[in-house]
Amino acid sequence: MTVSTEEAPQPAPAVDLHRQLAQIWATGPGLRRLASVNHSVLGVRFMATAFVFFAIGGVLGMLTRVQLATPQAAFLDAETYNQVFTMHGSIMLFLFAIPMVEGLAVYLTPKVLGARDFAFPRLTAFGYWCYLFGGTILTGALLAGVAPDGGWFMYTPLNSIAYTPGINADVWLLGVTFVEISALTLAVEIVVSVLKIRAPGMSLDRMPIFGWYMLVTASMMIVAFPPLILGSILLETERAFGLPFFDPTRGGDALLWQHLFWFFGHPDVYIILLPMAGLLSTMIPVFANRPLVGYRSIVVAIIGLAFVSFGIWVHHMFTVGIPHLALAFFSAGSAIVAVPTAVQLFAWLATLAHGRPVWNVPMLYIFGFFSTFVIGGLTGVMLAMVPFDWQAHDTYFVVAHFHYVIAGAAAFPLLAALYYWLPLLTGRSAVYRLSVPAFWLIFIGFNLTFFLMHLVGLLGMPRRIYTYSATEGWIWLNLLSSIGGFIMTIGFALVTIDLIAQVRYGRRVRCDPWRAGTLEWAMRLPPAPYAFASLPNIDTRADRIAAGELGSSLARGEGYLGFARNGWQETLGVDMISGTPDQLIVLPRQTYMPLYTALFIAAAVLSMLFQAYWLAVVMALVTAGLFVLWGQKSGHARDYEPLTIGHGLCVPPHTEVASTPPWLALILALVANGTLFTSLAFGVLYLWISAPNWPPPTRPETNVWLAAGSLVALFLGAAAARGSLRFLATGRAPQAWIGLAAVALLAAIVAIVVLIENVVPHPREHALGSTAAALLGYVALHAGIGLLFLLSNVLRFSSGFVSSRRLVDLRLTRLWLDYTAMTGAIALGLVLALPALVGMLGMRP
Amino acid sequence: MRPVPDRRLWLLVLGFSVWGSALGFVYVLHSVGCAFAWPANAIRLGLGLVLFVHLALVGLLWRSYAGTYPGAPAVDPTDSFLNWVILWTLIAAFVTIVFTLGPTLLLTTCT
Repeated sequence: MTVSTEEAPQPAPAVDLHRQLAQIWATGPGLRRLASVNHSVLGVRFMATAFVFFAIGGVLGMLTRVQLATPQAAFLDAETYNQVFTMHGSIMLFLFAIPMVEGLAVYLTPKVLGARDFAFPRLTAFGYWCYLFGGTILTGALLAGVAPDGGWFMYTPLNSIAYTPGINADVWLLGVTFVEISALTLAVEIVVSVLKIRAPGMSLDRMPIFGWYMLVTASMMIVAFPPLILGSILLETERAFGLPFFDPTRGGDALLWQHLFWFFGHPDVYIILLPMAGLLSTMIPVFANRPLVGYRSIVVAIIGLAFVSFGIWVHHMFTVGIPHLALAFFSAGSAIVAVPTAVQLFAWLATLAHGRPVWNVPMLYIFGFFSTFVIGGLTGVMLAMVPFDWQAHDTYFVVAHFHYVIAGAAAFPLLAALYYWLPLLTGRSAVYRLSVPAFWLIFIGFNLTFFLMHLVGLLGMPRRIYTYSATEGWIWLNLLSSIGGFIMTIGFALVTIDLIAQVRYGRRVRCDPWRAGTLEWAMRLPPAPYAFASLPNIDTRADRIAAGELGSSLARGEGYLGFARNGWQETLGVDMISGTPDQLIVLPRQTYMPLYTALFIAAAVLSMLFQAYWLAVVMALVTAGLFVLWGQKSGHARDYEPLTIGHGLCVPPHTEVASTPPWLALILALVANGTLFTSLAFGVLYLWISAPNWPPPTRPETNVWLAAGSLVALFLGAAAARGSLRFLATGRAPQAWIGLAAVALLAAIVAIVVLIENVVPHPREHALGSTAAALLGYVALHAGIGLLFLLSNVLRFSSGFVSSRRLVDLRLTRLWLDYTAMTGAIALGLVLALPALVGMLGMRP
Repeated sequence: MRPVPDRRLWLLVLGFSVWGSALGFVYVLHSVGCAFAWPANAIRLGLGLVLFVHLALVGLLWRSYAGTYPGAPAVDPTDSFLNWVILWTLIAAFVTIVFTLGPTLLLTTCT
């Protein structure tokens, strides 16, 4: 950041400024809405779509309750019931809870952090379309009668091809993976945005606690989702091509799926919970009329919680036959995870106890959350104790527990948040005629439905049975539970009617109706597409500001960037820790590219579902081409001097700085990618040590020379990428180095494909061969993506978007090829080590 | 005041990364030891060693941060905040290692 010497763009009168900014940022009418990349628009779309899926999932849940209300009911047959309960769980987890979290994050985070938008608006739009199309494929299958029917965690061998021969399981594996693209892209986007796109002056210690929650949650998503994606790819490959990763008769192991699934599944509970806690930590101080107690302690607690939640995935597998010692440390971890959760709970209670709480409808839901979450937390500690888990495993006690911790912990804070942020969303504040009875119906219905499930579970009712005998003693508990379900549904229907009425008849508000201290209230309600007419300077904790006063000043253009320039969508990038402005970020405008790209991915997914694999390959290649095309107009086609941002300061554009958001985004993407690779390597070693039918009947062999050659080619590619960057930085043309890198990568790909073709034992014959092929395929795929990077470099260099000052493209390529070479070395090393590892198995007793 | 370097962010996750490493090593060592029927004492010794090394590492970091924790008003508040959070994540990680992995020293190994 330097002091400006250039003439600043002329500040316009407030009305003109708003008109100019609206012209630049607005989403067009009609079909042009499909080109929107604005976070407010997309956040609302995410939440509205998630709400539709919630309604579908809710109806499915009610169908199961009708079926179970009486013994020997004939309302649903077994096959339909299996589809209904599987889709209920899958929709609620993958299409409602996680996307709702993402929608809230998309809508609120930039506003709370004082930014005009996220770092990668097109990625937000892409994430939305992937979610919508993936979710539509999943629910469409329900209408077609081919929905997944093997339970929402898709255990093998039940969902292997031998026991689920139709496309039901494929729908889940491909559809959920498609949706998870959305989760991963948004996670990267949230982390980058929280770290790089805050209001000037908002250092980490001044960041509202909501920012910390989103940072930690999104970081967890980056690590949690790749194992599930890997597991889904492996299971789909097994089902489609017969590669036996999970088939114990050919060296696979069904338990590998459980490890991969729960390494995602357990943190996922906290991925849903933490943003809800973030909402509570934002709302409670407002209603308590005092700042949040224990801000620093909460930051420590959520960092600890994030880590520990990963380390206890095995507590879902206590009954599979694990030695006592391992059970002990996973049990201890599952118990201690309650401590950081309790830190937050006590911080909220202390805030209320030391404040002057005001009762309001959001507060009703907050107290509803307290009671349900404490019950869910305590039953969680019970289930963490191995002897109890052995008794209650796979009974309705577990169903009751996770509905308390996931459904209760999500629904009550969400509804509190909905009422709290309704003025922000609609510009109208609530009139609570229906709100209070709706709350009580939901609260009573929820507890009646799910509390009784604890009891019926303790009486021995297993989960997932579609009917039961009248002699079991479960009749009244099930009937009351079903009645509770209907009461809860009436409550939700009332909330829906209430919200529609509020939107139509609520009192109009202009700004900050709660006298809150966070930045999302320092703007017009509902927000303009550019959120802030000018960006605030933060000199205190950003949850203690006078939002109304600041909002007026910002609306007059008195903050940073209080002008329109070149038709650019501008926001500020800051130093990650201090919040000092260090770059001007020019965001991309509206575009249909995210929609087209997601459509082609949907086509690829559908092609795979219908086993048109060549068509799927074509669609995947078109998608790759679209990604290259997508990047062609990003950034600037010329160098700039540092640009004025107001208040006498100027900063360089993001294309000319080292700490540009795409750089951080690629690092995070590689962390996700590295997690997937580590999971794959774990899978290989897990099968080696645990799977039956090892060693394979055929001794493994790998062509060492070919493997060494491909490794040399990979490192040559990485070195050439470094050469191209060095040449460009010194003003010389980099094409020759880029060409050399491309040739090296092509050579590596050819060598690896030959290696895959000659894997012994054959990948269909034994899991050793299939895991070796998977490792090699991973490397070939990354080398192929490296070629796309190089192609993009050439195109962008020739069209002037890359220069000796705008090096980011080539830096990204270098990073990608370094990663490819490193993982290639590990993967090839592991493949070469397999014969020796197999030899070691002879030493087993 | 000197700007706080970006790498300080990584220290926020240092303590619990060590815990994750301890968990990973304990899990792998235990699995391999049991699969190859190593003597119980050898497994126990290995697990104890892993535990000790990780505890020592977090303990040293804790000591180092507790010693340098500034607390003086002249210090950059952001720096002070980060130091506080890093210190307490280290302490929390130390306790978590003891609580979660301590049982490895007491229980039967492979049954």
